[in-house]
Amino acid sequence: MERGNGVAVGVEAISKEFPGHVALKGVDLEIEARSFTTLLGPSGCGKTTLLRILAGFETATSGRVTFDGRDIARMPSWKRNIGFVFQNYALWPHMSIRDNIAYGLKLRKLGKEQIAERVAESLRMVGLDGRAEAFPGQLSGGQQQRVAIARALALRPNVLLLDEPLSNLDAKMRIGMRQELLRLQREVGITAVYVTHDQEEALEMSDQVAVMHDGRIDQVGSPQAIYETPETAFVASFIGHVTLLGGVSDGAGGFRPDLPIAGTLPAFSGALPNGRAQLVLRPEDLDLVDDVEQAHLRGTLVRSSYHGRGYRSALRLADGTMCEVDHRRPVAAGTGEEAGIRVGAAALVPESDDYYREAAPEAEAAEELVAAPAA
Amino acid sequence: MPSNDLRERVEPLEETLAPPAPVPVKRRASRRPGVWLLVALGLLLLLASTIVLPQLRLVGEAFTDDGGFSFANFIEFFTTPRFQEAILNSLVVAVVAGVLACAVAVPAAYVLAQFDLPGRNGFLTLATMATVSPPFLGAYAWVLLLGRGGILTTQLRAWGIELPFDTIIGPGGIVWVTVWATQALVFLLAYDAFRAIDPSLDEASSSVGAGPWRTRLRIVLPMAVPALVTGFYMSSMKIFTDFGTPLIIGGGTPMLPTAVYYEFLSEVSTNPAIASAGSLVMLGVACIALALQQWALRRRTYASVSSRRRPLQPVRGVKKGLMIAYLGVVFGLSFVPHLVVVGTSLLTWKAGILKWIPTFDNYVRLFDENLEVILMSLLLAGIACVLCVIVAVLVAYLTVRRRYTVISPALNVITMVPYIIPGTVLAIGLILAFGSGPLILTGTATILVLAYFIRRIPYVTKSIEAALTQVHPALEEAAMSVGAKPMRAFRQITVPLVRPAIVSGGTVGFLQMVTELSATVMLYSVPFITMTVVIFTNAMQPASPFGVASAMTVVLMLAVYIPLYFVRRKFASVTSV
Amino acid sequence: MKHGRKFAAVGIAAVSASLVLSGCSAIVGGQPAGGDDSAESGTVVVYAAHGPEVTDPIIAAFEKAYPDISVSLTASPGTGELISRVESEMKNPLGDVAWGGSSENYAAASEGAFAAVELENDEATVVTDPEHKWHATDALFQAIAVNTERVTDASSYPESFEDLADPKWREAGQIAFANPRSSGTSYSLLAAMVTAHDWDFLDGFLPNAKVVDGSSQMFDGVRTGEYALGFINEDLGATWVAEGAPLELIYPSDVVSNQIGVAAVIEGAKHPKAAETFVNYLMSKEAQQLMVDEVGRRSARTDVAPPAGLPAADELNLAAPDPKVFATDKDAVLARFDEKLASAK
Repeated sequence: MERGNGVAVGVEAISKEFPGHVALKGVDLEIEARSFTTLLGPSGCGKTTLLRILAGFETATSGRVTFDGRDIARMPSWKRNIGFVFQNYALWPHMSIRDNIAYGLKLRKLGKEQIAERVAESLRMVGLDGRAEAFPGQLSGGQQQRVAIARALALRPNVLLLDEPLSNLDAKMRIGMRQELLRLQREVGITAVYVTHDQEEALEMSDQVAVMHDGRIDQVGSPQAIYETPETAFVASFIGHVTLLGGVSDGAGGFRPDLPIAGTLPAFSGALPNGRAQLVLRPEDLDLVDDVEQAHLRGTLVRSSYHGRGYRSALRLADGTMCEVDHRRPVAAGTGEEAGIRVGAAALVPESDDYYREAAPEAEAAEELVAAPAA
Repeated sequence: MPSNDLRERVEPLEETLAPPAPVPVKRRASRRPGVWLLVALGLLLLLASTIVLPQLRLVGEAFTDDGGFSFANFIEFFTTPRFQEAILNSLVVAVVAGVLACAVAVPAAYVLAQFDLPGRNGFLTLATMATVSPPFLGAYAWVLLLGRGGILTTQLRAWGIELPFDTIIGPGGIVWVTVWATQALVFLLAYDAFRAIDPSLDEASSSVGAGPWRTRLRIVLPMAVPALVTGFYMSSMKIFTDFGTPLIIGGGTPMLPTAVYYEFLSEVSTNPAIASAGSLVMLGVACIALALQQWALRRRTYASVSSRRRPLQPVRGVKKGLMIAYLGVVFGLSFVPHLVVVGTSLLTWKAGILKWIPTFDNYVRLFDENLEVILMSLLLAGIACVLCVIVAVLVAYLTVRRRYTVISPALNVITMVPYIIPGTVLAIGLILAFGSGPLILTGTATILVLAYFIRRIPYVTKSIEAALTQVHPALEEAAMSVGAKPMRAFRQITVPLVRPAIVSGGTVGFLQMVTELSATVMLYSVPFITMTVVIFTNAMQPASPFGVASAMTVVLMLAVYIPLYFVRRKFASVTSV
Repeated sequence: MKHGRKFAAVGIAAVSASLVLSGCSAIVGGQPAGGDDSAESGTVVVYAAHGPEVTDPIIAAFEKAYPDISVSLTASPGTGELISRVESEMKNPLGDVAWGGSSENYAAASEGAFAAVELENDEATVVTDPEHKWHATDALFQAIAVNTERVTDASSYPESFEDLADPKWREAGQIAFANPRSSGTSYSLLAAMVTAHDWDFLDGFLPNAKVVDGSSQMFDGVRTGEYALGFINEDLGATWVAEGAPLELIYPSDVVSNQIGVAAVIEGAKHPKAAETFVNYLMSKEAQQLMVDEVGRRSARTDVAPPAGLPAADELNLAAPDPKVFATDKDAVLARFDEKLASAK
């Protein structure tokens, strides 16, 4: 298998307006050749629109898209040499699996033997050899998605674009497919751009994660950077459960919280805001202690539950904020009693009330409307 | 494995990767005018010159009074009691007939789409056959049976059975005939829609605890709404514009098409200005109905993209019997006119009076005349049908998928215009437009082909449109992502996927063309004589030899049903299951 | 690719087939043997508003009498459609003869639709067009028709229009009366009744009437018993009675409405000479005798006796409505009828 098909993708100041709705508000992104980049964000954040612009299905209202530095903004999708994997697979139901995969190859005027070879190779890669004569309707959802991936990869595209490809699969298959997808991407050496709203998927698979929110990219970075040093309250709150505590940062590592915190907090990593800021606390970076004197924070225990390797407890802090804490050992305090929280690590972000709250079901519907062209 | 770069190997793609152009960041990245835009413009030109232009006289007449621009004709139209009455009657009859046609056809379509019933293909074939009624004689057949002096009425009275009505003649009769003549259209649209619904949707519904009836009403029915809206629209518009049915069975009930028709063509006194205004009013109503239909469709997102086939549920016992009985009644009533025609073709007619004497004379007389008319009819309709399907597919695609701001709605409206222009009026427009000047078509076969094409383009377009809304755009995008240009993606992906609708829409269009009468009688000339002309000339006067007309009708029905049978057989794997 | 080619091929085939057809038809149908016209040979294109029961016997006889002229027959749904077709083809006429419909219809047609020609047989007809555009081919009288199954008491049959205004018909059933807007026959009836009586006569008559669309519905309606009474063209009525229909025909004693059926040569006809021969033949004694014997319709000639069983014209009180009112101002007449109809409801 040859390597090096993948191109570097550049996104410069891309905006996209739909009638009565702005989907993208000036997005910049650099994607290294042969890397795996995830566009992560909640429904309606514009991630699918950005992906469709990369594919050429939508035309940006303004901005540039480059493949290896060449502007392709005006190039139609059928000339871009991309592979696109749809959330709903979009296999052509009137064609056999073989014809589905061979379709693009025939368009490239490859020889008969070469086509047969490529089809077989692609099916082998996704573990479906022997199903070439089946029709899409005869396959399970997971198998259909493998065919869709095989169809995209058979063309040896420059970029593989994936639009929530695993979201229609069941949980177990989804986890298995993550590794398989990653293996395929590495094997073929292709640039992959992957859209998802599942932060676990994003962290597990990506070289680079771009967290999108309200038509903008909030932060781009490695999964570790995104997780450990979020730059905005939104990024922090979208990746896992967090507790945000307001205060004032001096920009040099000092932070004065609105709530009294006893003792000294561990040093913050990443960029330090100056002025009003929020302390980002993750349950897994906190510990619950019985001895409130040793604690940074105190709260009233609201609930506590065991989940295998430890406990997760929720406490109400003095200002009413709920704080979740993971801890290995049980605590003596009962529900309604006071307990102490120790902070093992924390990050600081500029204060904002624009953070992620659990998506309401309506938001899902809104995303679909955006995704369907001109609907 | 060789390590040569893909781009070396695949040259066509190499040249398409544009060199790094020093293009500044454009404020509005514009796409080149694609092939589709050219297609759209071409279609607009074609349809405007064949549909709109010949009817422009209508618009001119309607807005002219005393030689100047005026609304006087419209004012007169709306203030004249007989037109007011006609508008009201037509609207009521159209809505009632549309609702009843849906009420009859939708359960039948659901039952056949959902359950494993014997004779499924037979019922589907019957449905397609039922979309063709014997021209001219359909309403007459019902009068013959259920008029005050009708065969059935008299017989029942002799047995002491009183019908709940004196006679079928009247507004109720119009509705009755229309429902049975149009339900098959709704049935076919609804059936296709029900078959296309992703089975997981109703599985999902029952999984959250919805009973089967709740699932049907809340999940399955709404998914079929686009087809229902279209079906309702088409059957109510059919009666809204039908001239023959109210004439024969209306018993003088003032209806818009008859009122407008006589303003155009009465032998006593015509008023083309008022008639034109009336036609435009009908056009206006049709446009409003069209807008409502589109609005109703637009609020629906695409149906599923699932490639899973919908399984047929087993059913047995009384339920099964009831379902088959229901289908039998629905289609039985739709075929009453056909059966009556067969019956009357085998009986003796004297001076327009039916005698109960069996005979083959009608057929003998028919075969004495030349039978080239059969071939002529099929040829003219066949050519018109192919043109119609090609244009309809393109127009439907342009309106559903590529919504150009001005062109698409314009195409949409233009293709619907013929729906409300009475065939006779349409024919006069064509004679005036193509009877002199640079392109003379009167007296040729082309003018008949053109008339058939124009008259049926609305129906074929609508049925393909309904199917297109059910094909997810991702399927076409997928083709483009692997390198197919839009036209190719359209031809190789979208067209095959809507092929069932193309086949059934085209077939129905063809059948309706073969049975077209009102424009044909104004446009035909020797030797381009069609079967409908023969039927008509043998049935036009009260003393005419109806038996010959019936016999020709039977031949006509056979001539369309035999090809239909083969089409259905060939495409059975696509149109059914 | 296979699909693509097929798609294109079908389209091309369709278009070319259509072109070929139109090309051929332009030769065959468009200008049929344009130069080949004489009074004795060639073709004559006849637009007829008659059914085959009228056209078949007479055309057959014509072709026997003129074996070198072939008749190409094009039927129209009715007189209104026939005249509309002629009018819309005025710039490029394709027909030679229009046949069927009453003299009033032809007189009201557009200027330039029909050619003014004087024919040899004009003199023999009961009436001639001062402008020589239409030529009389038959005479039609209308009788009251009673369905004897609906009205069983023979003594109660109406004898005149006046009797039809009797409120008793409101009970016994309805009198079918075609809307005079759509039916020339009915228009004549209307003219006759308001001439013999006055407009107020309608106040009594219309409440008893069931206004239907088109003469055929009126004729058929009374024959099948849909309506108890109606009006009927005498030739059709007599034929039906002979075939055993339960009908009784009554010529009203107060007035009998009537029309003259006509034919005309179309202005600018491609075969004017053959057309004149044809129209002249229609008025010939031979053709008129066929009209009487085969169709059962009164001849327009003075020297041909009416069909057996029909009363002689001079026994009847024939209507002669004032043409200044009923021919020139039809719209006013119809508007007045509409008013009366509305108030009768």
